[in-house]
Amino acid sequence: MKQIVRLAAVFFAMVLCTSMYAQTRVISGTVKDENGKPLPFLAVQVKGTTIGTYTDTAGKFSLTVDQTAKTLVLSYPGMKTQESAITDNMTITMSADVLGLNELVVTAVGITAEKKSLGYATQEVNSDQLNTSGTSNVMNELEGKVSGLSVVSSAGDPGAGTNIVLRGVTSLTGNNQPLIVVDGVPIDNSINNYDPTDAGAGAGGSAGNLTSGTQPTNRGLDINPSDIESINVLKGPAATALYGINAASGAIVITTKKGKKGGTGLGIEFNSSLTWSTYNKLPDRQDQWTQGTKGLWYGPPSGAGRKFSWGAKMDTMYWTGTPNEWFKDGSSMVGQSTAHTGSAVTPFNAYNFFQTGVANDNNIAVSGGTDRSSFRMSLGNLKQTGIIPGSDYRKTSFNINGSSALSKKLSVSAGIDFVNSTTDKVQQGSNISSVMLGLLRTPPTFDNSYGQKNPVDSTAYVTPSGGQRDFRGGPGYDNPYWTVNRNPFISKLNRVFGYGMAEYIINDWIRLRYRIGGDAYWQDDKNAYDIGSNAFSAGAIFMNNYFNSQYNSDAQVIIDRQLNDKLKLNAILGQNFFQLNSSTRFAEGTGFIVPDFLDMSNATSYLASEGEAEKRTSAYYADITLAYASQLYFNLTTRSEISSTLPSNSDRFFYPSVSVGWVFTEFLHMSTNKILPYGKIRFSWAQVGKDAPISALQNYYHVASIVDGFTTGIQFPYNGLGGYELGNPLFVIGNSTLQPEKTNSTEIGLDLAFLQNKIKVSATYYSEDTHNEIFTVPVPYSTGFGAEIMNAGEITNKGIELTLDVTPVNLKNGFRWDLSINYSHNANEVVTLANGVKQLFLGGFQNGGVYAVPGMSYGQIYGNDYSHADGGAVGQTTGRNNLTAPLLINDNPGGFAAGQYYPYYDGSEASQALANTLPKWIGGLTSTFSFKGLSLGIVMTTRQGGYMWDGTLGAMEYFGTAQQTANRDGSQVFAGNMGHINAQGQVVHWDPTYTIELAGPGAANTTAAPTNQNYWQNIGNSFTGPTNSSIFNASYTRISQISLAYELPKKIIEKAHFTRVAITVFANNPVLWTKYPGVDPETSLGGPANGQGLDYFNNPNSKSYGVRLNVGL
Amino acid sequence: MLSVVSCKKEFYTKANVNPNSPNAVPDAVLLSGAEVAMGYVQGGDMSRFASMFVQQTTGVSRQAAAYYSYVFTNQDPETMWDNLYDDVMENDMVLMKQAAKEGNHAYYGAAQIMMAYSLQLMVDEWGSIPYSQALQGGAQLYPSYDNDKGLYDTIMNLCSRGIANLDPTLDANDHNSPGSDDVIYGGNGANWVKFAHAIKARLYIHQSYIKSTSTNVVAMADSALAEAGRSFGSYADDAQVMFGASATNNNPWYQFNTQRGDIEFAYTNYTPGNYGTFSDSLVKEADPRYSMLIDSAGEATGADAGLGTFYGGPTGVVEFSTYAEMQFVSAEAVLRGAVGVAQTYYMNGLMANMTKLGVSSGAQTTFMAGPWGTLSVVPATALIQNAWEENIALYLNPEAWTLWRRCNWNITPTNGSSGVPRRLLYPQSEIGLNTSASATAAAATQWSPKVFWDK
Repeated sequence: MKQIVRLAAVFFAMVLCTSMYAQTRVISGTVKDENGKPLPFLAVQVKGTTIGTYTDTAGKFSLTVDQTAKTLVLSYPGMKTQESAITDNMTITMSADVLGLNELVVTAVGITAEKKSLGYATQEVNSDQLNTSGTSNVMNELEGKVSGLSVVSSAGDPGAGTNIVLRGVTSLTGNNQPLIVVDGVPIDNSINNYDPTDAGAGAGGSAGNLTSGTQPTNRGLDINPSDIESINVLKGPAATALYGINAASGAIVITTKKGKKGGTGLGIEFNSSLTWSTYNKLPDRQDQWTQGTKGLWYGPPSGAGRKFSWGAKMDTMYWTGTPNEWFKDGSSMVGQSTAHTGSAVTPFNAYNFFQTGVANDNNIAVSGGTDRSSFRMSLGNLKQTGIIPGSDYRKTSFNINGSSALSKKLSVSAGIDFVNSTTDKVQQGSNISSVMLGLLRTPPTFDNSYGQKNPVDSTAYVTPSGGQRDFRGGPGYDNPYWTVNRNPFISKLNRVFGYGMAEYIINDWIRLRYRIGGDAYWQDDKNAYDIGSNAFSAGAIFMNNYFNSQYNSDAQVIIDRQLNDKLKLNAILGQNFFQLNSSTRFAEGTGFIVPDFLDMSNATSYLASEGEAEKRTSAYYADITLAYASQLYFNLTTRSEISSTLPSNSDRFFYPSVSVGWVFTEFLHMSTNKILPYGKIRFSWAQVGKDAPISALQNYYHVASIVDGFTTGIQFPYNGLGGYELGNPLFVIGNSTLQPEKTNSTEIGLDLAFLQNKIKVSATYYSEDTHNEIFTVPVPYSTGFGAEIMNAGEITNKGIELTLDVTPVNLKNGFRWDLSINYSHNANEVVTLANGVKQLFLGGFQNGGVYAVPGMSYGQIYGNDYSHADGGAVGQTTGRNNLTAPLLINDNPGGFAAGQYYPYYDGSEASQALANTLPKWIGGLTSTFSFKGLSLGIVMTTRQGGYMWDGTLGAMEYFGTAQQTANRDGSQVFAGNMGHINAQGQVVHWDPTYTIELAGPGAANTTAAPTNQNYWQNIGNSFTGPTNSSIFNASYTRISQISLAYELPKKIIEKAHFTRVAITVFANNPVLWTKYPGVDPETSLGGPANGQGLDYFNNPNSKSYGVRLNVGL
Repeated sequence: MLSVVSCKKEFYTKANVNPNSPNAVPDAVLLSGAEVAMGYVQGGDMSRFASMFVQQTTGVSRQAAAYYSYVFTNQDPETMWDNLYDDVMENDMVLMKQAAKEGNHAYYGAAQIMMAYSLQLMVDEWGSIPYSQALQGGAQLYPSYDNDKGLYDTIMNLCSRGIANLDPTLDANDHNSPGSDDVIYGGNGANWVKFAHAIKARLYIHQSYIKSTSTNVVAMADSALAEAGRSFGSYADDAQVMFGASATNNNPWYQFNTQRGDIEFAYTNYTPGNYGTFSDSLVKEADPRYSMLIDSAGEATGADAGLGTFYGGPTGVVEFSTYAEMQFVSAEAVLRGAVGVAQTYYMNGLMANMTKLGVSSGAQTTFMAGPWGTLSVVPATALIQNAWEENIALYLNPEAWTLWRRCNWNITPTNGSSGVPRRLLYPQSEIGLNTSASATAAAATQWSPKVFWDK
């Protein structure tokens, strides 16, 4: 800190020494761009001197110069630097820099900087690259376009959340998503979620274990893609250190479209798109075997065998022909030899359940401006129905922003967004109301729709007696049609966010800027279960209201000073204040009186609760950039922050960053070089900190609740009595000694532009180390608690990011081919957890979950496997868990589990890390062909390496609905060595007489065993068998977008007073290549939360086709 | 303005206080919390596991089917262990400390007896477990394991101290005493004392089975008989939790059966008439309790038999210890050498159980006149007979598994050569996280080491 002060003092001294000149005159002028728009804050300098100034808000300048001065040098980011002879009352027009090397980017705390001055990696996505495809969640649009950015949409449901991670996971259980900043103001990207079917894991947030309920949304969804001008992705801590705590995982800086000053009247833009979507991939189901068990047909309402699809071979069976409430073709099934009047049994296609979703997106924007003021107003409306009946998303958003130069010195600007949306969500995941769970367990001979085409027709899902019609004819799983009609989840949102900003010019090198931003929303979720729903058979209703508001204030002194003809100083000294308030109101009503009336007043007993959370942070920061001769840039940032979430004796913390960018081509005078006109080397080092969760410092009493893994359990009050338990939250020990968590990061990079910018290459290597992680560390339950909030653990991320932009073809006739490729590889390692913690649960299930395991990358699928044929050391019991040894094939005659000649599995195999969910590398390719008004764009993305747990398949194998189980009349020689596990847990095998157990495994198995129901239900599946039987490589390559756009020629449209008319046809996600057996591997049970890589009845992803019209007036 | 704000520490520290949760709560809500939690935990996995081991019930689907075949992982007992320590015993511990400090003897005594009961169940299922260093939160993150035999002394001591604290002359000066918040006894201290004696009787009768020390057997049996005599006077004194009609207050078995339905009570095995061991026996023995315990109304039409409302209705009961059980314990004590008339205790137990279940006196008389009404004259046979009837009285009670491990009536194992499990696996969390116990915990199987009294 002392050194920074000293450094600053030197610069101020230098600045003061520059104003002593005699023999002067005053010159003045105006600077405009090619469109006549005035350019404020443009640097004007007398050539060969340090004398200079900046234009004011109206683009005007006046300057006292030496009599001998002849020429001015004018420079402006994004413009060609130019020289002008000094005259009286000059009007100077600047022209754009076609090479694009002076490109401007918005970095931390609203700073606008030249890209070439940065010593760290950022990547921009502008409006041309967005918005072409009619997707509703702008975060999904970033997929494949930014190196180092992983984007996983959680399902094809309208309004579903998206998990975005930059440069790998840094926080064990905290938020790993980047900060979203709109026009300089951080906005909330929370996950607010409640799942009544799982009281233990019902909480939302990034550490939430979202395995059931409905797909949670992250609130970043609320931003209207049509209002976005550009998105700049700040990848590493050096780029975001100024943002402080909230941006420890990177930042996504969004700049919205603005009106243009000095324009010619009003401009009107209108765009409209229509999109049709269908499911893109579903698991294969068997269609040869009926409902039932042990080869016999059983159907509802009785007979335990009705739960399965292990019945008779379909082509040997006939319907009786007498319909009942369960079956339209006959009340039961009979063999061929029995008399009947019905038809032959054929399978029903369960996937007819899905529908074609339609989205209609309309946006209109009006903008205009004068010399001094400008505004833009836009209105957007989206109506989207999903591929699952009953799912939809409706959003209306309104945005207005404007700016005005009130005087030569003062300019103000403000913008506000209003968003209103309603989402009808569907039940998913591990939940007996889950659409996919009920659908995929349905036997192929049971028709969930009862022949109805209309998904709201109750004949499908309600029996004549008023009960639920499902394949089990009673407790079990909800009929998917029942779920979408009788278990609604409606999420309504009203949100306002915006900013106000004033900028005041003190003199020709100091400006003041103040920006205040606010973001407030009200989310109202209502989830009901009608009488007869399996999860709440008496009916239940849950209401959750989330009120969230946050304020962010930044006061800045901006110094912009040419120190001498080579050295330029930019400095920002600032103060930030941030306040967050969030409230939740929860009400639950159970025991409905009137069926099909899903209203709180219809309940007979009630529970309610409230929650308040508040957080304040305050920080001083400085950002100092020294530029030497437009080629060497040195940047230093510091931030000293106080956070209310930390103990009062250690709540202030400090973190710095340093970065250097050297445009070596300037040094070598190569800027006119035909081959390599631009090259930059950059280096940065940074440290960022993160504070503790809110209210984590002490213990409190909480209303008691008792759940077990199979039931919803007890919630107090209990028969009118109160009950309390100690913890923070329940079962967690608060900690009053928390310290901030720290990430150190080093980054080096190279940016090159070859052949007049036809080829641009950017490469970055980074290494990050996060230590002192604050997380909820599991402790043995015997402490009376399940976890303690502690500082422990370390995660490292090392990676490479490459981007290549090429224009391989650029013909005189206008044909042009642009190609952009990016590649990123991140090596993540969870170095340590806490003392004794060998694995940390992140999400999923006890056997089939993702964990953090020391020495391995984040997100290991953890569980057990079959026993392996490794005797290990004599007397040891660990050999059987050696995953690299052949399988142990059971040699117990008539023995354990499935029996002899099957892989040995008794469930006592040790749980261990089985596979890694993180990809080895991800890549994207954007290719655009353009010719005159036509352009064809393709975006491809790939994700290579990384595994996924397909628990869906495991359950489908158990129930006999998976295509994999169609081989049930066959047999197979299971490869491995004969043996079994003895009472001491050691690998042994029988001697030929089956009387003596010999140590270690025996000979290789050569005997075939039937792949029958016994095999599949006992050990062939991960549902009751080993986790490892359902782990698959989740690599994929997809075409994420194709679009063909035609822009009508100006000649034609100008007659009708249009400025632009374009028609685009597009496809989203039309082609997917993957070996993964389940739904699209780019879905996630955990939604936007940290526990990624799990598939347990995930709702499917979608592909869509559409057309878009853009009109400008 | 901002700089003024940032100077005030309180401006920050106040923001971080959770306004929705209290820092202190009265004794009453701690006791209710612990009691209901105990009822729910016992009626949950603890009851399901034990009832499948002794084949009172049959797991037919999903995880329950695996458990029924003794396929367990270290994750399976996790929830139960977690709930016992976090929801039951931590609350008991907080209440013990708080009531002692405030001088509320009755609460203190009730908390000690609740703790004793929790420990008794846990020791009988796992053997050695953490207690002396447990339940201390962040102060001891790695509680060491106390020897199971030693823990029996601890339980005995907790019962004795609980009984002492429940002395009415002490309670008269208490600031607060349990009332309706005590869902077990409504604040009736005398009944708590009886419950404490019932726990003691269990501890003695369990130890009366240690074959190697035959002299000890008689002493243990004598003590068991004496303690049982000081316990419940009728089934009105039974230690039990009734559940509530509201969906969030429902009986654990009711919740399991409506939400999961993976366990059957008269397992038709897909062929009507082929009942599971337990229900089959009741039908064969023409036991009038069959129709009380099992709801077989729909059987004729092929529907699965369900659990009767007594134990399986929404407001059904979870029994901790009963008068009937104590009578069978007394009969067993006599059969193991204590002085008394076994037949009297046996008959009392049977009739109390039947009366409580709602069997008519006529049906009771008929049953008592049959072969099951009189204990066999062959002591070994009588022991099994008594145990079998006690097993029926302990329907869905985890004590039935403990009873079987001691009395060994014939159960055909459903899987493997090692037979019915003799203990539960330690949960993965203990193996992984508790550095004080990982070796012991990891090495345990479902068959070894046996609980100290199970030789």
